[in-house]
Formats: sequence, C-alpha cells, structure tokens
Amino acid sequence: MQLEAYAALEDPYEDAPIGYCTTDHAGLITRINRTLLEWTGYGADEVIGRRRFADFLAIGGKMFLETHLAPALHLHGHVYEVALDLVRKDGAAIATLVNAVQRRDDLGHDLFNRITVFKATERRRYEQELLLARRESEQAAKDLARTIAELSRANEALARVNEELSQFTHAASHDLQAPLRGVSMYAELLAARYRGALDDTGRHYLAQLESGATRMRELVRDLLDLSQAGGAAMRRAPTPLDEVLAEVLQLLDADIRQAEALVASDPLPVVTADRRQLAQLLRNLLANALKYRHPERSPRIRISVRSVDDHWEFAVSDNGVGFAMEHAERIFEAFKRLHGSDIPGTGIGLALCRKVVAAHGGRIWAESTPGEGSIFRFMLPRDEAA
Amino acid sequence: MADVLVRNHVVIRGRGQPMLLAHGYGCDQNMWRHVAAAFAGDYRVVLFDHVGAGRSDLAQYDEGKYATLDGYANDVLEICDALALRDVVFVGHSVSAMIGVLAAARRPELFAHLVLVGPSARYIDDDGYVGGFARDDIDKLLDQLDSNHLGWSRAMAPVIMGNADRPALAEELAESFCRADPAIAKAFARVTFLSDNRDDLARVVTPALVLQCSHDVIAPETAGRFVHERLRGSRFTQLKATGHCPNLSAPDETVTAIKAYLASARCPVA
Repeated sequence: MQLEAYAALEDPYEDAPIGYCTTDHAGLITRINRTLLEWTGYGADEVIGRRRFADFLAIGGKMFLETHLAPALHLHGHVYEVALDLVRKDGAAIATLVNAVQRRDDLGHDLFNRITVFKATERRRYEQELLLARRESEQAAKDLARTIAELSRANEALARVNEELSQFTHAASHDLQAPLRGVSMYAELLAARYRGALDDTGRHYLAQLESGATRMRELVRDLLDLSQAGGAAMRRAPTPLDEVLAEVLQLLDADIRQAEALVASDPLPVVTADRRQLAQLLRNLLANALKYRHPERSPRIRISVRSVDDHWEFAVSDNGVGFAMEHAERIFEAFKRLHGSDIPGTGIGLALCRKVVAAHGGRIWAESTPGEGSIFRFMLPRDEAA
Repeated sequence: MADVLVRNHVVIRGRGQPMLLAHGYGCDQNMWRHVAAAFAGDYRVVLFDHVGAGRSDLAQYDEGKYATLDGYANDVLEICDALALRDVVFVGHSVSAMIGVLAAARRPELFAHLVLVGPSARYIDDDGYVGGFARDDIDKLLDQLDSNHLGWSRAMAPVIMGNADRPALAEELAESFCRADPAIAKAFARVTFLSDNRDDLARVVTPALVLQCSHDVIAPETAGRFVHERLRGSRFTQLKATGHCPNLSAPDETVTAIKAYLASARCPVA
C-alpha cells in the first residue's frame, strides 16, 4: 500500500507531459524527469551533476539566457513562457516554452532553480508565421511608402510642366495680340480707303483677311483665358451667381435675340469663387447652347441647381442638336471639336470650363441625346459660411 | 544638462567619491541593486539606464548615434559632466566595460579606476583571437530575440506608444526589470556583439580591474585575459561565480573583489 502510494506520487513527476529539472546554485542540473530526458535523448547519468541547462541550448539561446533570462530570474525570482529551442543529443532542435522559478534562502542567496519545459512546436510555427507576416507587412508598407514618394515626385514634375506650359501659352497668346491688332487695323484701313479700287477677287481676299483676323483674335482671347484659369490669377470672393448670370445674359443679348432663345434659371446661390472665371464658365456654356441649337426649333435653355452633400450641382440643359455620348469626355479637351467649319469655334471653350471648375474644387461632365439636347452639369463646393 | 539625467534615468545614492555603475546588454540599472547597496555607505553611487533600456527616454534613441559604442560612451561622459563628477570609479558590466574603456580613453582626467565585470573587447573569433562566437551566432541571437519579443512587443506597445488606457499593464511593466524596446534591443545586440575594441585598450591610462566569471558563455576567460593583457597595469581577478552576471548571482563575491581592489589601489605596494 505504501509502495503504491509512493509510485502514484512519483509518476506524475517522472512521466508528466512536461519536462522538469532542477539546477543548483552553480547552474548544474541536480534532478531531471524522464520526460525531459526522453525529449533531449540523454541518460540521467550523463546529465545529473554534469550538465547545465544552458548546455541544452543552441548558441543564440545561450546568449539570450545569459543576457536576458538569468538577470530577469535573479531580479524577479521567476521567468514565464520564454521561447527556447532545446538541442537533442542527436543535434535535432525541439521548440519549447520554458518557465523557471528561483528559490532563495532567508539571506536572499539563491539555492536552486526549478525549470519546467513545455513542447511548443505548433505554437512556435504560428509565431514564426506571425513574424514572417509582420516582416512582409513591414516590407509592403515600405514599398507602398516608396511608391507614394515616387508618385508624388512625378506629380510635382507634372505640375511643374503644366505650369510652364500655362506660362508659355499665356506669353505666346499675349505676344500675338499686338501684331494681330496691326493686321486687323491695316485690313480695316485697306477696306476703308481702297475697297473701291479693288476688283471682286481683291475684295474677296480682303474679306478673307478680315474674317481670318477676327477668328484669330477670338482664338488668342480664349487661349489667354485658358492659360489664366485657375493658377495664381484666382481671386476668390463671395460671388452671387444670379448677378453673374445677369451680366452674362447681357453680353449674349444679341445672340439670344437673334436665335429667339428662351433662357430660364432657378434662383442661384452665392459661392466663394473667382467672379470673372465663373462668368467665363457660364458664358461658354450658354454660348454653346445657342451655337449648337437645333435647326428646326428655337433654343430653350434652363439653368437649375440642387444641393448634393457638401456641393452644389448645377445643370445647364438645352434642346439643341446634342452629341453622341461616346464623345462626352473628348469635348472637354482643348482643340477637340465635333464640328467642322460649319459651326465656328476655337475648340477651347469647354476646356476652359473644365479648368475653371477644377480650379474651384469641382468637376464638370456632360450628358446628351443626339437630336434632343444636352445637359452640362458641374459641381462647386458649397460655402460653409453661406 | 538636466535632460541628460532624465534621458538616462540617472539615480544617485550615498555620498563620497563617485562610483558610476553601468549595466550591460539585456538589462538595466536594477542589475546593480545588491552592489549599489553595498557601496552607497562609502561612495556617491550613480546609476543610470542606457538609452533604450529600463526607464530611459526612448524618444531620445537615435539609430545613427547608437550605431557604435561611441554613442553610449558619449552619454557616459555627458552624465559625468552634468553631475560634475571627477575621480570616478567606473564599474561596467559586459558591453559597458568597453563603453567605459572608450570613455576613459577620451577623457582620462575624469576617471580614477575602471572595474570591468565580464569584459570582452571582441566577441567574434578572429585569426588566433578567441572571443567565443562566430558571426552567424549573432544572427541566431537576433532570431531568439524575435521569438521572445512576440509576446513582449504586444505588452510593450501601449507603453511605447504612450497609450495610458491600460493602467494595469503599465503598472505591471513599471515593476518589471530588464524590459527593452524590441527594435532597440536588436540594434543594441548588433552593436554590442559586432564591436571590435581591441585597439582601444592600449589608449587607456586609467588603472583597471578585470573581474572574470567562471563558465561565462558571453565573455570567456580568453576574452577577459586579453583585456587584462592589453590594459597596462590592470589587475585580473577570477571569480568563482558562474555565468555572466556575478553582480546578481554572486553579489557578495563581486563586492568583496571590488573592495579588495580599491583598498589595495589606495595603498599601492610600490
């Protein structure tokens, strides 16, 4: 009976699914259970009084033990769940988690350490995968940061090129104005003084000269406007769009009358914007609606507005000839025209509209059904203060 | 100058000749608790944490500055200057032994004695020199650090990020010793174990004691002997204590050896 009780007490130590060992003050192993002997492949006589726990570790583990574990064990009296690889007698590694407790005498001198060892093969694999995942995500973050930096450099370069182009357009169109005024002036003088002296061919040449000069003046004016839209020339101020629309209708009055057009508008809000540029925007959209009117009916143009989130969405709709939706993007590109010389135009108006809207933090797009009409929509940020 | 004392969490105990205790890699100033108590009666004991360890100011960690041991030696000199320390007994454990060597070589007028506990001027074996390690071993240590910082880094994160909404955790960590930021621990491991300070030993004129442990995996006897031979006029004391941290595992023997050295140095036998 006594013997059985002894065996029952002994077995849980020797055959536990956990490795146990005890080391003395000098670090030598004084006791070790069968489980840990089996795991490491050593016999008890090879270990007891001969080996230190550190002898079961590979070099990295030994270094970690001496620099981290030993001080922590002395200072705290215990260490828990430290990952260590034990090296078997045959050289194979076993992933384990190690706990250690230090026992001291009344004077604080350490007497012995109790060490428990758990197998942690699966856990270690998860941890390795976690580490790998962390490294990969760190790498991905670095790659992303690099890509972002490259993109932002490319963006800066593009912005620089755009700015230079804009300056070039401005300078070129500005410088073209003076000689052009000269051409127009001399054409007028020629017409005033010598029209009578010219034959039909001569008069035809003169008419061509005058119309060419007029067209070129329009082109240069539009180019100047385009180069100035957005950029440093912007003057933002609270702008009542009702007033702007009234001015634009005044400017277009002759065309509206001639086309017998009807223009109706919702009450328009006040927005923070460059007044001159918004006038150009409205003038171009209305001029287009008049210009591309349907040959068989007089133009009906409607300006409406609604509030969408933190934006105003404006719509300028007409009952004109319209266009095929496949061109809906192209029409906003400079010098891209859907029509030939049958309808005059510089091909800059809608490009200017897009630039103005973009400079104000909005966007513009168009919808159309050929033969029925078009709707040009643009969004502008709603003024928080208004 | 006051921020140097905050940066390195400088703690002063006792009064008298200054004794500066520098902890080694893997721990913090707490590893000197027994030794500091033994000397605080006769010395002005100055304790500190290297930047990245213990309660030092992690925000002051600078990868470039601490890529060499000179950065750490610089901090030691700044602490001496901030406290106007002269005639200093510098006690350095492990890598801090070489940090002390660099500091004393640069400003010999500040130091009275160097006590080097478990020193190694070069951890990696090199053409007849036995440091105890191969280059590859350092990488294995770094892997080991990774495995063991997995749990820690999760626990450390709120402290490092200055997140105070887990007070229980912060409290637990405040009471734990030898904690370190994982990234800094790796960088410190690299600079510690890849340094080669063998040529710096000849530049030192300060009297020195080498304390050598038994069965020390980190600084084997060959490494300690080398330091002793290259430091002119140094003494060498072999301790019975095993392992790399005699200041913790055998504080009595360590304190006795240091006291014996300082006493004999005070009454030199011609």
